[in-house]
Amino acid sequence: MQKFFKSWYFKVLCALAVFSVAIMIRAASSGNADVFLSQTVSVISQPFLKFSSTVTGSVNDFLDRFVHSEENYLKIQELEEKLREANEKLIDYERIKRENEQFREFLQLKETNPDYDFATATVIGRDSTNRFGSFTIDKGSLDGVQAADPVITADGLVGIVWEVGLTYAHVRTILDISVEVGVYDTATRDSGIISGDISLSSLGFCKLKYLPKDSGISNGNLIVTSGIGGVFPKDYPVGTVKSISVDPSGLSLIAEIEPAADIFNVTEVLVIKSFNGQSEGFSGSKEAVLEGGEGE
Amino acid sequence: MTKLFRRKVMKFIACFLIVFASYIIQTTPGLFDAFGVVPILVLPACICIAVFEGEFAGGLFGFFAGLLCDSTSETVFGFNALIFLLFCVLAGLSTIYIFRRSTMNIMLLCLVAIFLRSGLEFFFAFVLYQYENLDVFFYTIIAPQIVFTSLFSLPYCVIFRRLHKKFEPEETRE
Repeated sequence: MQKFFKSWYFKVLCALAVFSVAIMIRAASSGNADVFLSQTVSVISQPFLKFSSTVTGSVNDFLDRFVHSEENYLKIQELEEKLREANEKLIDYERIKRENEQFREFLQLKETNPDYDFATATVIGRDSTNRFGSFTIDKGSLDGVQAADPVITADGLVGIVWEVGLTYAHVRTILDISVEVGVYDTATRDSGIISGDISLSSLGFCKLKYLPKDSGISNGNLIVTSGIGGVFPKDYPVGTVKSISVDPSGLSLIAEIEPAADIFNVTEVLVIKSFNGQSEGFSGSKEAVLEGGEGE
Repeated sequence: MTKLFRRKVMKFIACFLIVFASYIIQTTPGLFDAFGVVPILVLPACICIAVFEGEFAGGLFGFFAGLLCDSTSETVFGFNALIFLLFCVLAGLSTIYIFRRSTMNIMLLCLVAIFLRSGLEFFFAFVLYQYENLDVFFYTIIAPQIVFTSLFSLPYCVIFRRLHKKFEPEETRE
C-alpha cells in the first residue's frame, strides 16, 4: 500500500480530487452552468444524447406501431390484401396526423397568445438521479433561451428553465420541490402557491398551498397561473384539483393538483422567451424566481 | 509503438466506449426506465474498470464518468466526479490488498458504492433540508434505484473480465 502512496499515480489522483473540490466550490457559488468544464462536457455529449433520444423515440414509435398493427391484423385478417396495405398506410398517416395536430396546437397557442415569443424544443435527456421529472432540452442561449423562462406544452405549464448552456438548457418541472408558481382557482378566484411535494411527485401530482380556509375550492376546478411576479404568463393552465385537505397547521387549505401537461412523458415543449407582463427588471436568474415572489 | 502498448490503448478505448455508451443509455429518456427508476450505469462500469485495470485507470475513468453525470445532474458540478474518483480508487486498492477479484466481491463493491453515492446525495440534497416524507422517498425512489443499479454490476463484471483477458499480454495468459 505504501508503494501506491509514494507513486506518481497517487499524486495525479490527489490532484484530480482537489480539482473536483475546486470546481464544486465554483459551481456552488456561481451555478453549474457557469463552470466552463460543465459547458464543455455538455456541448460534447449533447449530440450523442440527441442522437440516442431520436433513435429511442423511433424504436418506441416502431414498437407501438407493431403492437397496433398486430391488433389491427386480428380485426382485418378476413379483409383483402388491398385493405391491409391501406391500413399500413393509415398507421403512417396517423403518426403524421398526430405530429400535425401537435404543431397545430402550438400554432393555436401562438394565435391565442400573440405576445408569446416561443422556441420549440425537444427533450433530449432526463437526469436518471432526479425524481421530479427534470429534463434537458436542445435549445440554449444561442436560441435566445434564458434562465427562468417558462416551459409549457399546449396542454399546460411544465416548468421553468433552470440553467442554460449554449445549445442546451436544464428544465425543472412544477413537480420539483424547489419550484413555486403563483396560481389561482378559476372558479373561486382564490389564489395560492403550487410547488412540488416529495410524496406526490412520484404520482405525478403537485401541491397547492396557502388557500384560504374558507375557500370554496372543489375537485375538478381548473388552476391557472396568476402572473404575479412576472415570471409566468397570466392565466395559463397548470392543472386540476384532485383532492382537498386542511393544512396540518389548521390555518389554510391544501390541494393535490394533477398537472395539465404529461410531465414525465413530454417529448416536445415550448419555451416562452418573452410575454406581456414579464418582469421588466427581471435578472433572468433562478435565484430571482425563488426570491422574486412569484408565488406571493 | 510496441504491441503491448497498442493492446493497452485498444483496451482503454474499449473501456471508454463502454462507459460513454452506458452514460448515453442511462440518460436517454424512456430507454432503461423501470417504473420510473433509472439505473446509474456508469458507476458499476467504472468500479469494474478499477477492479480489473487498477486503481489509477479506475480513478481516471471514475472522474470522467462523474463529470458526464454532473453535466446532466442537478447536484453541484463536481460532486459525482469526486465521489466516483474516490470510490473507484478505493475499489481498485481493495481488490489489490483486501479482496479477491471474485464476481461476488465485485458485485458487493458496486452495491456499497452505489449505496454510498445515493446515500450522500440523499443526505446533502434532502435530509439536510428536512423535507417531509423522506422515509417514503428513500424506500420508494432511492432504494429501488440502488437495487436496480446493482443488478447491472454482474453484466459489467462479465464484460470487463473478458475485456481484461482479451487484451492481456499473450505471455501472461493462462
